[in-house]
Amino acid sequence: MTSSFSFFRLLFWIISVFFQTIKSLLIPNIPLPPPHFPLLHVPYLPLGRIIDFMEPDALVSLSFCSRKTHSVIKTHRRAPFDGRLCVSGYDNNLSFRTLQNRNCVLNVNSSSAFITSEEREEMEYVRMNRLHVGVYRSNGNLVLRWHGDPMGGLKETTDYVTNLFNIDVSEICVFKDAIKMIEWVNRRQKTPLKKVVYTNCVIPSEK
Amino acid sequence: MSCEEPTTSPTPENNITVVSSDGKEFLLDLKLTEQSETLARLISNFEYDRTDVKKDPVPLGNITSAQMQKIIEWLQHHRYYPKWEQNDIHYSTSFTFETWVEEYLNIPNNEMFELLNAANYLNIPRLFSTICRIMASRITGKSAEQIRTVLNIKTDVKNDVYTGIPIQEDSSSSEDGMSEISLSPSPPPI
Repeated sequence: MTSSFSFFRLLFWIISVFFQTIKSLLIPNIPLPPPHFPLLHVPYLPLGRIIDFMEPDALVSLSFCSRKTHSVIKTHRRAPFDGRLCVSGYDNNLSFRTLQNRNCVLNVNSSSAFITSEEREEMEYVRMNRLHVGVYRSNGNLVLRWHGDPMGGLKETTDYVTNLFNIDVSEICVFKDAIKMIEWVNRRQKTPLKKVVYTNCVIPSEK
Repeated sequence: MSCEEPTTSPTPENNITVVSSDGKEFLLDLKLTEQSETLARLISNFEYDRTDVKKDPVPLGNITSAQMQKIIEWLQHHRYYPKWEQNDIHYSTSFTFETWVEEYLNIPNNEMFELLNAANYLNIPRLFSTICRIMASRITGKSAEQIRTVLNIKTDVKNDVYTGIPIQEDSSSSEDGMSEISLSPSPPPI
């Protein structure tokens, strides 16, 4: 009786090991996908709060993800921005400036500007005002690679960011074509400019 | 933030029982429930703070026992903190949390989502605001592609398989999902 019981136990063990082996051969060890935070499934109130806490450049990156995220930012963002939106024609960027610091939103680079192989690999083409532009991160800043005159890229970027955040440009930093730039800003918005900074330094390569 | 912790032992009179969605019962001190606006209002409406009122268990159908345990841990830690005010929300980008909070919320994104929903349901503003801020910081500095992965966002722009450049869409394509609907009736079949 005892011997037959141990025989059945052994038989059961052999069968279970056999099936385990077959199972491990048939089902490959596929790593599980990383856990997600489904932002678009978050209720209205916390969604608005998360968007309010996000930094401007992160919001721009998020807006590039899909049309839905773009529209969610436009409709949910309520918190005031820290600083005034400044368009700089000198170093081709958009930033929020306060007396103490400058929080860069987006830089515009010409397509001839130097770009590392890693940045080129990371560059992603996104949709901006019906145009498709390359965007990558360089030294923590969001950079837009513009084919053509960087000033055109800066104007497109300004339109995109002001539309996304529903704000107007408050400050401009001009280097050349100052009058044209002031006229352009005044044409595109009703709110008058609060500050114009004229940078009177010459880039060495343009001497 | 420093808080003095008076040594008071909870008595059965100042407790209520909450039941999670999976049927597990939790005994909660009334002092803890003050942090949850949902529970505080419920206790006030049913007068559960009175000793002569029979306290029925409160069913929390949207919260699992694991989430409830996590929330109780939060409520216990913030037991003697001052009441949260709306003015306590600061939108400045330089913000640090105490070490306990960082350890407490060092959890995977999917658990964070569930905890946020639970905090929203129970209306615990301090927890709710902290989770929102931490999620915002987890997105900071990421590219659009990385954000899509973290937040499980499906792109609605088709990219060219070889170049990765988005394919120029037809101007008649549905920008807002309206253009696919034809306003004029289709001609009747002849």
